[in-house]
Amino acid sequence: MRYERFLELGRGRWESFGEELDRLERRPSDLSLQDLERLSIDYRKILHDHALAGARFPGTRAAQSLQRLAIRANHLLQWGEERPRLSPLHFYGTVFPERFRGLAGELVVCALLMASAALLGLTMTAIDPGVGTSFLGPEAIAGLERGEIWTDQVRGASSLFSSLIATNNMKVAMTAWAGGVIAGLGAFTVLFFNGFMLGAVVITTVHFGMGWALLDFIAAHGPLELSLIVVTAAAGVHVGRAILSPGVVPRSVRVQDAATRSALVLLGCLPWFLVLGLVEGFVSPAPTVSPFLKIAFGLLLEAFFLLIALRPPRPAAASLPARPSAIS
Amino acid sequence: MSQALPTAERPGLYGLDNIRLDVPIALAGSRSLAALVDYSILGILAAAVITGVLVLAVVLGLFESAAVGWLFALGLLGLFALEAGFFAVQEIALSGQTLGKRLVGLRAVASRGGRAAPFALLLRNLLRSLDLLFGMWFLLFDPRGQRIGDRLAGTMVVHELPRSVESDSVAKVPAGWGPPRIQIVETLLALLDHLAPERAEELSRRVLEQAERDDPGFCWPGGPSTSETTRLMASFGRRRTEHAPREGGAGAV
Repeated sequence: MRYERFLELGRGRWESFGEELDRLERRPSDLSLQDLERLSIDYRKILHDHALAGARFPGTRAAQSLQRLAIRANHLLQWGEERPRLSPLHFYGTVFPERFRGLAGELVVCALLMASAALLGLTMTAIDPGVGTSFLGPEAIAGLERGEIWTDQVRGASSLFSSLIATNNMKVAMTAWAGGVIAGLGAFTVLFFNGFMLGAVVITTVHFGMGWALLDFIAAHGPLELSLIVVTAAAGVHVGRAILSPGVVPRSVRVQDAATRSALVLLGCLPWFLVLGLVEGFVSPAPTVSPFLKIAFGLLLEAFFLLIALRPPRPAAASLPARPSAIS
Repeated sequence: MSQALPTAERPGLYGLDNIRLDVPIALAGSRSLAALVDYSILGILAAAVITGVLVLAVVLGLFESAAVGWLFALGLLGLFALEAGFFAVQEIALSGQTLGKRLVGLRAVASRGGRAAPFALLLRNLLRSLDLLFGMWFLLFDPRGQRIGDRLAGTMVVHELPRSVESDSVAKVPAGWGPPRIQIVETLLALLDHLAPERAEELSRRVLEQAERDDPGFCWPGGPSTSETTRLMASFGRRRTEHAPREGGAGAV
């Protein structure tokens, strides 16, 4: 076919297709189903014209125009996988528990790692108290010697402290999750560091006879805070595991699927950090609330989270599609 | 960079019927520029939040009251929301673009070239902190320019393409002319308005001479005062200008 003939035959179609694309880009809601069907048929024709132009008339204006048109149409007509809009009720009632249960193996590993790190921190600090000092700093140690615990500083600045804690914890959670991408190493590091520090701090305060004061402070928020760190780290490890052993599907597909699933767990945990921030800022340092009440509150909070996370699947519950665009 | 590679080695994607599309993938340079713009805006916004909180505390005389703690707490949350959501919210609201990307002409799309789903855009930005450390290596060495966030979310960043279909193509071609010569004429026609008049005349004359040699009678003779550029446009039937119809010639459609 001669170039002129090719142009003559196709030009009208290309121009009207371009105009339709403009319309689709500006006001997609204006297009009817028939319009979209026609567009998809025309798109196929454009693709074939583009392939012909690329093979027979490479580098010409027609080939360049068709290339642009084909790429634009591909972009506008091919949508990424659209997730259904989720209400918080549906998310926490169905999606979050489903994703949470999918992390069972990683959760056990992460919980064990954190507990082991705490035990290690506890043992090492018992052998060498300097380990605890390096975490708490000389001022906090001097305070403990005087019978004062550093957590008393929170009183009087609860609102600011709440916000600081909530944002810091959310950053730690996001770092633990993102760190999981490096074959799980980042998540393991966050777990180990937090576990080790917990063990070291606990034994140091006990050593100075302030263990009860520390328990009084951490009882209300501690259980859930530790759980959330383990859960977000497990979500990160889930991605790292997919990178290391993708199984029978291509690694990129497996990793994308794991990232999507685990990101939903991370996003589900973030609001809990806001709740924790308020508890840690207002309830934990409150001298008027008895330690037993704080322990009960902390356990209740933890039980509430676990009740949501471990909610059994409903038989008729609609589950989210697992990235069909990536797998198909 | 991608333009210099042979087609088989160039990163691309495949449309319907496995037809290859050479998408203009954005690499380290343009993406760094967009990021620079975005982080500058983010810095300005963060400074605005801090200044706003301080000014509000002074204006309302809150420094002596307990309410100042709440104001600072809100400011802190605002800064966190800004840091965590600045990129994701923009990309979701602007179909894969941030202000920086829009300025540089980039867009985050799905790895198959389609529109990226909002969740994918959110996911690619959740890994931004990691990408600030390692992302540049991926941008430099990955032919598709996919940083860690892009790989996990199944997205990539491409250059925006002009919306309109260009109509600079010629309508008539001398017999025996192949794509390279057509390309030369079309490029010359597109550049005519930007060349110095004498240079445009000279190049037009040379093209017309070649066309006449290859296909006698193809070129429109014009009148005694007709310029070479006018003859060129008329002979090749440039569509945009709708010049005089060709009178005879072997290359007629």
